[in-house]
Amino acid sequence: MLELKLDRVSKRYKRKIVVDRLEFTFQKGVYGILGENGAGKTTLLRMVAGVLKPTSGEIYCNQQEIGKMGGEYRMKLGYLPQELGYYPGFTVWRYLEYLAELKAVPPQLAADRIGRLLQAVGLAKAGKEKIKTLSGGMVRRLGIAQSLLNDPEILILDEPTSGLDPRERIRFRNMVSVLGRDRMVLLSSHIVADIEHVADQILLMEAGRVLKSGNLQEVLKLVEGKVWECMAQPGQAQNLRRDFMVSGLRNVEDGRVCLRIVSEARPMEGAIPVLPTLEDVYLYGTGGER
Amino acid sequence: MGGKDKIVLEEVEIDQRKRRQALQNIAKAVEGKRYVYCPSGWEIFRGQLKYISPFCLGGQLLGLLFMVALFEYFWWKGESMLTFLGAASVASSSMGIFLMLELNRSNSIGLMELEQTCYLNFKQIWCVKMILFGCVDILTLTVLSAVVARSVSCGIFRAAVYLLAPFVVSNMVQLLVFSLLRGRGKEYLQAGAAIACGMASLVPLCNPSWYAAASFGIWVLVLVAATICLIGEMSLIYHKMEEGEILCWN
Repeated sequence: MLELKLDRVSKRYKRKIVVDRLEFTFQKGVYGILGENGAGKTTLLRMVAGVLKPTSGEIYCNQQEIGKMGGEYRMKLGYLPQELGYYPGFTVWRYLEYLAELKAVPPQLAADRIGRLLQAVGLAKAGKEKIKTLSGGMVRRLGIAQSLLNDPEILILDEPTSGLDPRERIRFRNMVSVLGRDRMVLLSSHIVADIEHVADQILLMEAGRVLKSGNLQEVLKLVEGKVWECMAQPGQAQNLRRDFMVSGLRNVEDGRVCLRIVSEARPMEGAIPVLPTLEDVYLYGTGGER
Repeated sequence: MGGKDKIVLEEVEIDQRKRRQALQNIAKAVEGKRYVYCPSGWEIFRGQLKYISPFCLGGQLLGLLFMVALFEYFWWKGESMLTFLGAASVASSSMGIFLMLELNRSNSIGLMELEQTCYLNFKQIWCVKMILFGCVDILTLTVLSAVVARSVSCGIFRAAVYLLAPFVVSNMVQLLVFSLLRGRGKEYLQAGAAIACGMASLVPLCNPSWYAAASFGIWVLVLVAATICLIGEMSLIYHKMEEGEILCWN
């Protein structure tokens, strides 16, 4: 059984600790990593992908330290970095051919696999186009295709949906859900809805540590009984925004404002408790509106 | 058979249910196995050759051909030994630029982070490129040394030292530029550094006595010192790459 274990993994850049003695075990399934900018998501994924070396601690894949596994570990990996690098003069097909070669995809399977992946990400007609002519969303989809070239057992996706339109995001989510059935998918995103839809397990990160982990129901428990909805006059709403974590705010026809507030105690008279969402947890875990 | 009866395979009764079960188990185990393909050294080399910039490799080879043609012209014109030495020194200190530009390609576009996660990671790709370009460098230096040895009437070893010194110093400077700067546009600075090194290699020609046998020890010292610095620089870059921070753009 595939298992990736983080054993007190830390990463420090000069004096700043970005990932702090993280201990976690990943198995098959989709893991959604949620956290604000600078929470350590990308650094964590880079360490798991073998790009960055932890300052201390070890990462084990099936009880073997990944640095010692070398090519054997990299063969299991599919990685989509936050910013996809590419030779601008390469066509989509040539780029995938190049990466297929680096990923040791058997030459006799490469062409067929590239064709199928381009079809899956909606780039079947763009094979002969130069990458520099593609839109941001198309480059992102190309990135997703390259990450799947070697049919990886461990798929690491850093902000995969940034730049995708809603239709593509839905297509991507469905794809990840299918992929997560028989492999490990680590996915980081700012888009809470993406994580909510596809992740079997959610990791809420803050300041290099895992604040809360578990399935959606378990994570939601963190704010159970702490999410309120209330109606207020615009002036009063301003005060509430200042004093509480407001996760939603909309104007109602009668001129009042409907607020969704995350708070330990009832924020005002007439506020009613409501069911929490992952966005509420995110806000609660990351310290609210900044 | 020690008195025991022989077992005739055809007569052994087969339990079809167990047979089916065993075959199913085998099929399941086969499905679970991943087809692992490990390309051979030659396959890796041949594969990478397709993706090396034609400008860089072609430039290196054209440089060699240009130098051969230039020396033929110098002989035909009956140029002095200083002309031969000057041209060979500039060539040897500039030719490292092609490898640096090639190595810089994936670095300048942020592809190294992704390459590092592949089975053939960037270190292996770099090795292939360095071997290839290194072979052309050796060939070029050998040709240049032979020509210089003939025109200056010194041994090939001395000629090689006169050309290796600017070659190593230039590579050291270019590697420094490579490790200190990042991002697009770095290639222009590297080309500038190579040109500057080429010009600097002409300085000893102002005083031809520096090429006399008495000064040869200084050339050897410069070469050894530059080689030590280059090795130190390479190990520092390797260490930084192992840590991974210089592979990431943000």
